Amino acid sequence: MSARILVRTPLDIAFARDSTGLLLAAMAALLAYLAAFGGFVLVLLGDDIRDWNVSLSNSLTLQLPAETSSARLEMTLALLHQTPGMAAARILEPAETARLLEPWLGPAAVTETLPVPRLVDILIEPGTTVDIADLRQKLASIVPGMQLDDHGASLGAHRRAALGLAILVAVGLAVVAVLAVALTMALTNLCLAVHRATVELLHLLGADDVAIAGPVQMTALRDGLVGGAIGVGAALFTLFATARLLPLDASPTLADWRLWGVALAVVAVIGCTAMSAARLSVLRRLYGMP
Amino acid sequence: MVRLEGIGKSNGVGGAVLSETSLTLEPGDFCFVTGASGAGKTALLHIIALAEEPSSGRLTLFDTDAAAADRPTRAALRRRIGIVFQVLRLLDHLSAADNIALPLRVAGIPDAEIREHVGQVAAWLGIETCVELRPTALSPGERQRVAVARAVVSRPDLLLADEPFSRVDEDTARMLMRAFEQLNRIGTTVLIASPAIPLVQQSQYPRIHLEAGSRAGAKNGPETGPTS
Repeated sequence: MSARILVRTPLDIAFARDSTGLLLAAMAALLAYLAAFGGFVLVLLGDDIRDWNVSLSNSLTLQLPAETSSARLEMTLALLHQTPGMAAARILEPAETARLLEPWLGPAAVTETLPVPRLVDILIEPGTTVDIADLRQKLASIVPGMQLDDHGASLGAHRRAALGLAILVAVGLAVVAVLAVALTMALTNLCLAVHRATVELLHLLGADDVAIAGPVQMTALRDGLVGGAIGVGAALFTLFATARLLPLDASPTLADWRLWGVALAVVAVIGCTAMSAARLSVLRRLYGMP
Repeated sequence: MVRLEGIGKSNGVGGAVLSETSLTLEPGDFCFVTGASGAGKTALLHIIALAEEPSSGRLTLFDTDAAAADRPTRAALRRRIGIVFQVLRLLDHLSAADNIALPLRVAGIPDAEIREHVGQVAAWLGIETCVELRPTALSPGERQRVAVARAVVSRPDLLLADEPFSRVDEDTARMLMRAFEQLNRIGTTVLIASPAIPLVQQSQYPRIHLEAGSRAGAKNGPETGPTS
């Protein structure tokens, strides 16, 4: 079923096609492009945040003084393995530690000449909760001066940054929504000015307000849907074309139903917004007539 | 059918287009409203057609108080009225046939019936050969007949015609007059606003004469209606 048949009303013949329809479709395409692209980024950003949360909240890093003896190391590992909820605990080799320090100390970092602390990478079983304070106390009794990092600080920073970005995108989407309503109202008023004689004539011939609003709102719906679909298509194309350039870890795929959900939602919202704004404008104008 | 009681209409700058105008039309009446340009003929017809609100007075249409009627009721009242506008108000992007069909579309008549009714009324008014043309391609007389056809195609109970003879030649004017009379004979009440041209003066129908801003009272009768 074509869009033309879908939106046909008995009085649509009375309204001549004019350039405001093209303007509305172009505006809908632009707004849909911005909204859809923002929505896609929000989806992928959500994936990144989830991945960061999982990777950081399921791991701990234990830092032991450089002079810690082998015996204390063994006792520490034994304690960790006995602690409920621990999936794995592994002492990093000096070479691995050196690689981690390389960004700060350079390639010439010599772990043999510097008192580099020993690092233990601890993995927690997903879904379990470890009493960090109790563990920290027990570890301190074995190796005074140790530091147990639960990544709370870096996790918080990541979350705050991601939340800030998400809020920024959401505000952008809200601005797009307000613009959509305002521009649609303005364009519909322009369209009404063009069709003023027709609206008045139909009113005088006894057409009901809703019947007069029908063709205008259905035309706005059609233009909004067509423009919205074009804009969303362009946003999808841009997303896949520039995926590598975006500062995101998650990669978009066409099999991701959430992207299609965003696309459909944006098209539907743009179309319904155009239709509602058109209906409101026509009825407001008609209520000004006797 | 139509009752105006003490209808007044201001022109928005303190003057009066109509003042204390009263008029009663019964079913089957045929009446002229005459007067010079600016006398208020168009305002009177627009008030009866519910195109304008009177500033004062009371309008009763088809036993319904127009002022008290809600919007759907007023729309339904308008559908019982056919109106020939002074400026015709034809839609140039539509063919003559589609212009004529508009009241039927408003009334929700099926397309097949619309074609039949439009064909009949076009033949009746002698414009069947030009119904596929757009108004801009028609002569003034043909445009006037298309406007009349649109006003009568739905067989209205009341026909209002605002200066229907002013843009046409004498032959077309007589043809339109005969058409209005035929409609009236099958029960349509007719009210025509027109200057006092010979065609109107020679007719036997009652006339209501308006002076600019004057009080007008009218009743049905064979002679010229008084202004008082």
